[in-house]
Amino acid sequence: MSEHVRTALLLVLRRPGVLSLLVFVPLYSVVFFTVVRQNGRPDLAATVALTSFVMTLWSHAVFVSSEAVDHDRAEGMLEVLLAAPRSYARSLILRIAATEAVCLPAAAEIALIGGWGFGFPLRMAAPAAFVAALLLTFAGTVGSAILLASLFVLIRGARTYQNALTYPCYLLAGLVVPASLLPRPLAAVSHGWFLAWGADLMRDALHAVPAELPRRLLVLAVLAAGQNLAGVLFMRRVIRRARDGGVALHA
Amino acid sequence: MTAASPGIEVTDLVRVYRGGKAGSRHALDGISFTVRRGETVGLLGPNGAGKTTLARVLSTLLTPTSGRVRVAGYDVVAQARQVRASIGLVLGGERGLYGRLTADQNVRYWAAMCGLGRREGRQRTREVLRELGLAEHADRPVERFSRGMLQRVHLARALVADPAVLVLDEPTAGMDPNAAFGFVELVRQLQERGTTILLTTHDMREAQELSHRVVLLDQGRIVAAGRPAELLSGLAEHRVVSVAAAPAGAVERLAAAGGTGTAVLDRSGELRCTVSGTHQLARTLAVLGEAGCTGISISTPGLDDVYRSLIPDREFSVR
Amino acid sequence: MPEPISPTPSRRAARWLRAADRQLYLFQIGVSSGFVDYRRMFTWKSWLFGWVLRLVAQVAFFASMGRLLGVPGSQDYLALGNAALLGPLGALGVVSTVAAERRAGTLVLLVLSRAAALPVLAARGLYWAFDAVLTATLATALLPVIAGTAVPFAALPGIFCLEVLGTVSCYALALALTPLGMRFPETRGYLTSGVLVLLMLFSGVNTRLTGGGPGSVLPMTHALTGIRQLAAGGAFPWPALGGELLVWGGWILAAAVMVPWGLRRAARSGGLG
Repeated sequence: MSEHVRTALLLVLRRPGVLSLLVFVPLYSVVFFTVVRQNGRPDLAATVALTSFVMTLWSHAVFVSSEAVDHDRAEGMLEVLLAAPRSYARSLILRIAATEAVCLPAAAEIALIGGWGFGFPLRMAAPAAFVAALLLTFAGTVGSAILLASLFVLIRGARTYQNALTYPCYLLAGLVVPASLLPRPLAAVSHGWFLAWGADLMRDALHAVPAELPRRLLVLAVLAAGQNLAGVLFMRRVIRRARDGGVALHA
Repeated sequence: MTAASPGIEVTDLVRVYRGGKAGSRHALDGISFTVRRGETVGLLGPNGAGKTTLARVLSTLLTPTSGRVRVAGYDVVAQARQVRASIGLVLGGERGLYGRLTADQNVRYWAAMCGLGRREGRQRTREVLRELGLAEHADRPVERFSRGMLQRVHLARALVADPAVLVLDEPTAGMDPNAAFGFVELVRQLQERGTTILLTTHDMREAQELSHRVVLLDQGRIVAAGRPAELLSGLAEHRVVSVAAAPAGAVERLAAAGGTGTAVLDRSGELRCTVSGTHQLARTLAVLGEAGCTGISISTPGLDDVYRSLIPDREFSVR
Repeated sequence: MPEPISPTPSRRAARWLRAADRQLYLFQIGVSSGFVDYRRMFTWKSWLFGWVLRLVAQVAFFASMGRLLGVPGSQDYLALGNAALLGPLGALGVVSTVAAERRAGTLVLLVLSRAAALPVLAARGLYWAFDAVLTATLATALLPVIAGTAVPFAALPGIFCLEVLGTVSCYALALALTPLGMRFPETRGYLTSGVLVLLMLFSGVNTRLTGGGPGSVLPMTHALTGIRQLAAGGAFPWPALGGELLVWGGWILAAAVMVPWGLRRAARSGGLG
């Protein structure tokens, strides 16, 4: 395991507070499973399980993975790392990806809650399509975390909007009802967002082999790559600004 | 380090901070100096003199507004990567380490950031931690370390990739005297190995003990530079007469007598009078004796006296 | 030995009034300094487009889950429950305020003050409860827009009263948890999220109550039952009000025991600053 990945994992695991998200966001599945059972709709169990998993993935990106640069700044590490011979941006991307990967086991946690706790048969009709969509969605989420990490440093006050990136984004991604049912302007935004495509594809893969799979996977791959590109470009900008003295190197 | 190149070469360096309501500010205003290979240069100056800005420019954390800066023969702008591979930055204070990680984990991560492979990084980490007396504490989170130990970890991190030039930015700030003494001893060992060192500090005694040459910086400009002995030569005729607990009226009597040095009384009641030449010394001692002073001591000036004679007190002076 | 002179009833009353006045004054100072923090925390833009937007989206999210279920009434049920939940959700913020006081080193000063610890802490974080009631009421009033849920205009004052009570009730529970947040700052997320999940499961926010169970001692359960009755056009639900008052009383008692105990313990272990 690379030292960058190892360091990222140690930094997350040694801050038990940040892991509370990993405990409680998947626990929302208990709420969702209870609701579908009480309303006599066990057929929706897989859908709501996916909802709580994507919520975990996204909220972890917004509240934990995106903290990397700010955390470095708070510890006074930013100025030290910028003076390192190897690229800080490269290390940061690896660290953010590793931090984000910490939340992947939540999928198993949710499946266990649904299967053992509620007796819902959570099966995947098209596992290969699901895994492909999951990997691309994960990549897009890493890109989002990189972008947010940069924005939180670059724009003063951006952090005050951090909370607004949860439920509005869940709606925009169509995590419960498809994004196509959103009001038209919002649906248009959603149509260009990797998370909506990823969630849609994974949801479809739960029930059958998704229609137009190659095209949808390609779109998802392009959108996730775009998200990463935007993240890396902003990250470079942050580093350039830091070297120009435009960004405080420590909090 | 390229052959025959100085460790650090700064020519007409200007760094301007722009923006804000205060307008632009010249943190460094056309400074030039050189640190030869294997030499230690102490950089002294009050808060805001530009010391930290200079340390940041040298370590590529800030780009110069104009001028040329070379570290180990490499240009800090055009060859930033080579500069970073040649320089070790040691920050003072408690910033600059991941508190929850152990000393070993902090240094290993840095080794990776310096491009060392896994095995090499692990081995070098073990070596530097042992050399700096941290082997027994390698597996403790650094947030539980004392200031002195933290500074050793900083140094271990800076040394893990064996840099040609070390920049120590106020390394003993906040340390207790024992820890600071221990740290100074470590720096002496590095000097013996021939490491080029730039030391920014507020501690005059430390600068005098460790530096081959000192540079005094004030408001972004060099106000004096040279070997400590050279700087002190201007004060060779000076002596400082101190009275630990001066009786009331002693300062006034000195002023009234004439032919004595200028006396000041600090808050603790200590009287300090800087005199020049044997005649003034004798006259001052006589007046102090008549005033009933006891516990009189005479000392030769140090770097702190040079500092005080060149740099006005802006922070505590009442205007 | 002369008998000690016992103060006359009027002197005793005057002394009691002076002490009460002093406590009230300290409470006022705590509240006003808390509101200074609150104003620094948000600008009107970040409050509206950051905080309120998120809360409204949360209600819309759960309402859309009701839509997904396709069961008549479930969308309204989830929308109303989750709008009401915003009160307790906001009130839980006080746990982090107290932990922040400890981090900033001001907790030790609060404890050193002459006022009783619970009113001081309750006053300092009261802005959380204020904000919670404000956002929950706003979300409830906007329910026709957010989820198409009709709430009779005449029912709004009653709903507001019950929302205040449910929020204050949860605020008392949150105060009772603050010693844990102080002692183990890393547990803050666990405490607030844990209570929130419990409320979502057992207070009738998302699921229909089956009577008894943990919900009956949790904040908001009774108030929410009343809110649902009012929203359905019923008369003011006095039993729900009484039930919620009892729950509030229980939790404020728990806080009155827990907070001084927690501070004493922290002082012993050096964990105050």
